[in-house]
Amino acid sequence: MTKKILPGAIPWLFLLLAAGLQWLTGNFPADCFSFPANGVLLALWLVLVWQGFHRHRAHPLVRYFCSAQGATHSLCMMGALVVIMGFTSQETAPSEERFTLGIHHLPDTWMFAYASLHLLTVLTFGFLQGWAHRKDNRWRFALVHGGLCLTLYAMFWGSADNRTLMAIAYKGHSSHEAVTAGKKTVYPDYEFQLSQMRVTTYPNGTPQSIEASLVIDDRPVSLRVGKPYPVKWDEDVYLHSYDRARGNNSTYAVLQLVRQPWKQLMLLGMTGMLAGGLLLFVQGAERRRS
Amino acid sequence: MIGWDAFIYFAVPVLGCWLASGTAALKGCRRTAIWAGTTGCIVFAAFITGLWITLGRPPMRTMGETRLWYSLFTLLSGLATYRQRGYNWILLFSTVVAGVFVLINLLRPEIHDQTLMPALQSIWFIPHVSVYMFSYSVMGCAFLLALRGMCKPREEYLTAADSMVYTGMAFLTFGMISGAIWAKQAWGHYWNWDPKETWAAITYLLYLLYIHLRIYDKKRRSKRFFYGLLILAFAALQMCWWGVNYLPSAKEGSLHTYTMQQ
Repeated sequence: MTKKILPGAIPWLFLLLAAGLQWLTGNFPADCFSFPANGVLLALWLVLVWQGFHRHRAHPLVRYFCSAQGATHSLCMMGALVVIMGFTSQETAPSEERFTLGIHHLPDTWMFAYASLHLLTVLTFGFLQGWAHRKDNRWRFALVHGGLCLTLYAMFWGSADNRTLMAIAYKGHSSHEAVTAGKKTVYPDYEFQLSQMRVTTYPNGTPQSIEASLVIDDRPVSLRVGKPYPVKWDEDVYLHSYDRARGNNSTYAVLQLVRQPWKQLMLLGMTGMLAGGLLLFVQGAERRRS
Repeated sequence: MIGWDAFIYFAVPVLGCWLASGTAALKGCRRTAIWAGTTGCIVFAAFITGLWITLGRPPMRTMGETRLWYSLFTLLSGLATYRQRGYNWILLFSTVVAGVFVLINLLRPEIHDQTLMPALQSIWFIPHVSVYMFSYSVMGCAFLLALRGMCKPREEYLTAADSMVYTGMAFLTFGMISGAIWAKQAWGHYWNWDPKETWAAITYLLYLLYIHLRIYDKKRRSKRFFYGLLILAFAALQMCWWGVNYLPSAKEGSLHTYTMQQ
């Protein structure tokens, strides 16, 4: 009954190794993995998982990733990192610091990258195994795990392709200058100009509605909080702020330009999870066959 | 017009009904317990409806308002569990939990703000908050079962807790995903690792761990281990709901803080 499996300490040793890398080299170099590098790596990784599952099932590493122990380790590892994040303040600006563990920007660290890859590998092996062998609640399992897989693929492999810029649209003249979170100036390939701000307030001064009329590349656009404008298939423009002291007479609007090419995959994954969640509610608690 | 000033006139009879329901259940008067509990819930729901109309927006923005939903859903979950499983103590427990939140609202009226800022004016607002509050209350019942199980570790409490955790997880999943879609519309990203979101992830991971260990590892672990895990997960849930405001992680402000702006 005792089949060979990877010793339980090894994944945690890798986490320590990731912490060492963080200490020595600083943050995980996510920028090096932007498209097409991330696409190629994802394809390679999927082929490896597929081959491992179908041709090397007895290998201790594959057995580990297919096991309950692998899933438990993965949840515990990710849980431990997220708990640290929960108790510490996280900085939004990127940090290039070395010789620290990156506690205040954990999502950018080697430890987080390793824990995410571990979780993704366990999830993918688990999905393949469940799909091949499950008899009870097969669709529920596939939707929840497959949906989570797709969502995390898009979050993890697609993170290098995401870009968030801040830009100011002025009244009277158009501009196409924006800055990154690291204060680097970049020039998007479209122009924007503010035509009019419209702000209504409650009697106590709290804004009730905020709307900015803009011209983006000669097209009239109306932006509101929570109603972004899709300037391209992978990029949306958000109304972020305005001159609050001047209200309707504001001469500028602060825009947030968000490029997220993997967003549709993420949405697809979340839809799968929603459907799986619905089945979870309908079918109830799991009963294992002995 | 039903405003917060009228809350006490609703709260007192509601608490009376719920207390009667809890004691009737303890004495084995099942019919009375269900009727008294249901009547209390109807009166409480009437107050929430009246408040909704008076405010001109869904009462889901402030902590005080979310406590209303939590109290209502806790009692409803308690009633459902009592009807289905017949635990005669669960109604009194849920009454105590719901009653505490009603009393907090009576004693801390930081709840009179009628405004709804633009970020909250979304179709996702009502489903996101109400589903989360419902899942919190179901998880609250699982927590009560876990507390009971800690004293008397019986398998049947774990089986009942499993059902609740599965129901709660279905709603937590919907709450989290609706929140992510809303966050994409409002802030540009599905997930921002904001303190509230981080604690939502911790809560979700802990309940996932419970589910996985219950399926694959239940023979190797004691019942008390699982009750302990449920208690820990519920503590994380409380942290996500209100405790996060007191942590250093939120000192630079949270995207989810709507009551301290302006």
